[in-house]
Amino acid sequence: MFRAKGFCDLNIEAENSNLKESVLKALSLGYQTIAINQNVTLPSLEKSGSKKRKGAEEGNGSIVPVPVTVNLSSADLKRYKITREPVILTRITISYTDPSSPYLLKSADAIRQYDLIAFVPENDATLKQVMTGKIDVDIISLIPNSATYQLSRSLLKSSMERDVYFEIPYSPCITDVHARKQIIMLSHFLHRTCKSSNIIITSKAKCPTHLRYPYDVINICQFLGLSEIASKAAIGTMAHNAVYCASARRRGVSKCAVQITVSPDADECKKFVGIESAEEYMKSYKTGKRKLSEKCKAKKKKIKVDKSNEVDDSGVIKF
Amino acid sequence: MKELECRNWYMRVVMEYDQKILPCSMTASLVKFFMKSAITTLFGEISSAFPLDILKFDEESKEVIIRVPKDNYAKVRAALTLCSATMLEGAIIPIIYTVEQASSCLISLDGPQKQLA
Amino acid sequence: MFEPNVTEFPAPESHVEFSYHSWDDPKLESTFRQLIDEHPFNRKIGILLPGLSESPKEIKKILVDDTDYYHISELPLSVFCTPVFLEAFLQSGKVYAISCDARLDLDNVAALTPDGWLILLLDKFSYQELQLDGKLSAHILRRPKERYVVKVNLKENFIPGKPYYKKVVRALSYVQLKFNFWISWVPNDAEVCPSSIAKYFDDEGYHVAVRRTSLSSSIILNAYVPVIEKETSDMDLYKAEDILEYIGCSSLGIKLTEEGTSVCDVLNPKPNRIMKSICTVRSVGFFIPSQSRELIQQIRSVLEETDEEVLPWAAVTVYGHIDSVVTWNLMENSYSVNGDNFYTILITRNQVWCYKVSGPRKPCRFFAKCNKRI
Repeated sequence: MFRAKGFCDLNIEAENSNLKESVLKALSLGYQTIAINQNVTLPSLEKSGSKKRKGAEEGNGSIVPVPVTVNLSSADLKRYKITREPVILTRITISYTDPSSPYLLKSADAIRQYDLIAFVPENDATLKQVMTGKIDVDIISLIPNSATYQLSRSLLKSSMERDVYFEIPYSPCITDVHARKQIIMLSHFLHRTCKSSNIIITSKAKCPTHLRYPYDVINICQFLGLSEIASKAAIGTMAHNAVYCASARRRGVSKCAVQITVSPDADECKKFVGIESAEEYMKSYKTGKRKLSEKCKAKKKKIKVDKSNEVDDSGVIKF
Repeated sequence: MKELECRNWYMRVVMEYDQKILPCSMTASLVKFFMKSAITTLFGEISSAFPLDILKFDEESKEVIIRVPKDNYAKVRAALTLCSATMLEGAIIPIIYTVEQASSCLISLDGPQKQLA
Repeated sequence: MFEPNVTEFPAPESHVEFSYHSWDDPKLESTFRQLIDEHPFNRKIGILLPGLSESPKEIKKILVDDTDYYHISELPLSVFCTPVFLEAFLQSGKVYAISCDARLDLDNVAALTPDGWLILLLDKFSYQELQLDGKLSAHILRRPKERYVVKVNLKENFIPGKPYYKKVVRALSYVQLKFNFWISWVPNDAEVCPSSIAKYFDDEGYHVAVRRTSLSSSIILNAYVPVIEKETSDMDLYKAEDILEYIGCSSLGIKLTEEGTSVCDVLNPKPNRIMKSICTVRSVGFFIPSQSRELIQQIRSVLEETDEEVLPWAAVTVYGHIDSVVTWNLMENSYSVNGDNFYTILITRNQVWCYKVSGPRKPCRFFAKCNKRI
């Protein structure tokens, strides 16, 4: 089970002008946890006719590419003066419009290879399917268009309660004036719907020049509607929680069972037969009347032996 | 002890640019012009009318130490972060600003620096 | 309907406190005690000497002689609880230890103050694993519950064999929190060598390295130096700010002008006079409060020996460690976007001006306050 450390940048595009350079630059700027992202658009069922169905059956998981990893040698790390051990994760961003598309279930195995799964909801139906479906989604990445603002607020709030995190990228603010306005509108929309909780900030960097120093990013978040602590948490503790929840989802539900054993060579007066006798013992012990000696137990023992309850040989009480 | 009101914030900014693309060599007044145009792009003319002083400009290491009023600090820092390029004589010059240290006292910039990486 | 904030973007919180005394003021000792003695971990010292071209030998001697400190790698915290360490070092001297490579706002940090408090600042998972009582960090207002402070007093009621001692030792051995420490020890007995702590850790098998204090200096030529006059009871606080700004400019090598240029409107504080050179001495190491006190006394004696025309005044700036868990008086240090943690003392022949700069104190809200205009 991996855990995120330090500042996190959970979206560096794999379709990058120079992926290794971007990762090394992010690490040298101060980010310690990085996720390399690949975008996948699952085709909808309407477009596919009978011919395409055959093709789809042949290549099930081929829509979802293999996770991309980056090998960093210690010489690279030294060149960029990186001393702390980096944590590099893989992430996939899925977008699809048709909830009745079979591709999601078919490529479920391929999707599970990734450490983080992100999802772009195009409409209410897909959002609902993902929230209740078999695919565990960790991050919701919203596109700032009119369809997003019509998403049901109750669904967004319920996804928040399920520990799903919303992502706001900051590199569109750097590149394009139009995109900057859209990102600000999106962040204000999130502020209005869910009080800007569960928000993580990522870079969505397509080249090394889109990355910024972490404390600068914290400063920008103030303009996106987050408070000072929330903006620091957005690249810090919220991102850690997102990675932790993601790895917990991969592992599945944790269960534990409790077994109570009373050791056989314990003092006679400490053995209880049933809950009622245990309660009586505790009452008398608390008032201080009871002294743990063999002489007293005979006289002051108020515990009645109930023969109906079974006691095992080893002393395990069966309820 | 009495509380002093710090009216100004100081920042140490490191610039990344390619000298070959520039039509002339970088000077302090050019740096001031670039920074003001970055603030104007993001926040408008009223925010860029606040005083911005360039205390020190080192051409070799491309470090600048600037002073801004306290109320304008967050805006200046955000404008410098979100700026990707500036226009000069018709040419688009890509510049990246990184604010390495910021403090309300100038002496703090001489102190030990935070090691992140 | 929460509307986000689009109008006010305030700068982060920062506190600068100021006081001035004459040398025979009875309150000076309490100010020095509050400022210097209660600031245990100091990383860098900068001295500004207007008028000189190089620092006097006596000052260099204080900074470099007897200021060695030790860097110990991967030291588990349970070592501080062994009976040998408690008796040999903690009870018979003052131990100054602080974790050096851990970042204050992101990683777990630890410190051992000279009063015997072991203070840890942990994240949620380490705190839950540690099983010791702690409080939520003072800089978090209810949420997010991510940072916890654990304080253990190693000097009082910490006797080997007692249940509290066993509980702490068991907790620290279970989790195995390891840090790289800078350690310095001041024994009560003057005849004992302070390096015996390094030998103890070396014998235990940990990697110990001796670090020496570094020294560097720089000069500015032909600059204006403000004249510090003896101040009366109601002093103009703007002047104190300007002098602090001037000290910063000179330390960084910035020459201010009399009239202002096209790029810079910062002027020299008035009244002033021109001097041939201003010398700045910088020293990086691990300093303890008694060394700062000694330095101030030495600078005062240097001032009295030299002529006023040659050396009008001097300024000492002592920076705390930027990732230190505690600042003055065991108050928790914080680093949100900036973390100032230093003090400056301006020394003249008649007066002492003290500046204390600290970072944010108020805990911030996680959720922005509801804007109910709409």
